[in-house]
This record gives sequence, C-alpha cells and structure tokens, in this order.
Amino acid sequence: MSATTEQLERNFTHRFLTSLRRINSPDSKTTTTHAAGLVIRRRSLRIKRAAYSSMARAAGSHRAWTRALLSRARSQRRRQQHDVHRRRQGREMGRAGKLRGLVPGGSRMEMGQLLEETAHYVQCLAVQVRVMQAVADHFSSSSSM
Amino acid sequence: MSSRRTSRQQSSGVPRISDDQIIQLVSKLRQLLPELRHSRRSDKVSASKVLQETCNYIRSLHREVEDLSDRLSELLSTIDADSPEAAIIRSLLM
Repeated sequence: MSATTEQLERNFTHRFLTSLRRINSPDSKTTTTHAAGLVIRRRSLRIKRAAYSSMARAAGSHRAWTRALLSRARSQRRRQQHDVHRRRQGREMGRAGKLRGLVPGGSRMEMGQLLEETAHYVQCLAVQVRVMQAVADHFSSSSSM
Repeated sequence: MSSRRTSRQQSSGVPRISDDQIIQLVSKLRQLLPELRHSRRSDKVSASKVLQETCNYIRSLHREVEDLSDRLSELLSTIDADSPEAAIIRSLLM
C-alpha cells in the first residue's frame, strides 16, 4: 500500500470510528422492544452517511467529488431527504451518462476531469469498504467472546 | 487536424481534452478495476467496456457500503463502540 493510501486509511478510520461512537451514544429517545428494528434501520442510514462523509473529509477538499458529496450531505440534512443518489434530470448527460450519475458531482464535469475524479473516487471507495469490513469483523469477534 | 465540434455545449468553457489524454486516463482507470486489471496490456479493451466495468464496480462498492452499514448497525447494539477503539486502530494499521 502506498504511503498516501495508508494515510488516507488512517485518517478515514479515525473519523469513522469517532462517528460510530457518537452514533452509538445513548439516545434520549430510548428504544422499546417494538421499535428496535426501526432503530437499527435508522442507525444503519446514519452509519452509511457517516462513512461517506468521513471518507470525503479524509480525502480532502481539493477533489471535486468530495466537495460535491459534502455539499449534497449538507443540503440533505436541511431537507431530511433519504435518497443519496438522486439523478439530475434535464441536465445534458453527454458521454458516460451512467458514470456521471455514480460519481458525486459527475454531471458537471467535462470528460477528462470525470475520468480523473472517477479513478480517485474508486480508490477511496475501496479503502472505505476495506475499513468498514475490518471494523465489522472486529466488532463481531469482540461480541462473540 | 480536424477540429472536433461537440454537439452539446460544454458548460464550463474549459478546452476540450485531447483523445490521447482520454486514452491515458481510461488505461489508468482500467488498472483499478478487479475485472480487467489482470488482462494482458496488449489486449485492446474498449473505452466503453472500461466505463461499463467502472460503473459495475462502483455500484458493487456502494452495495457493500450499504450491507456493511446494516451489519455495523446490528453489531453496535451488542457492543460498546467506545472501548475497543484503540485496539481497532492498532490492529487495522498492522
């Protein structure tokens, strides 16, 4: 693993674990047994958002996709929307329309930038998944002790 | 050299990237894709195939994030996320 990838992984791990701790802290709305499933579902959404935000912050604001992702997260918090991958209708999609829909901010990029941002986004996503997997594995082994 | 006119308007007014640069970037992308990485370099993989595989890969990564978030949510109800943090960071960085 390159030094920068290692640094990214460390940075992301720290932010993500900090978010998990915050998400897991006792809630004022305490759970009753019949709401347990809903709590788990809602928390899963918070964890997912925390993962993407933590990665976008760890990756740095010099990338267009990180800025697009974080600004989308901010406007979602204001509007309480749950749909993370809202497609931009009516905008010209140009070439690589499907890819533009998958990379944050992709619909605004010209082709060269889109390809560069995609490469970086893919690398960061792979790190994100790897760390989430390791954290989940660690938690499962802890709880089975 | 023919001047290529785009049929759609570029929104930012940035000069259009050269075909060579695109070829370079597409091959860089190809190196990141598990499906295509191990094919011989001499194999011609079309740019549209690389883009298609990239989309598939990104979608599968998004799905994994979704599944892992569900799994973590279930696990968090069984453990205290506070205490093992130091141990996790150590083990992840080994």
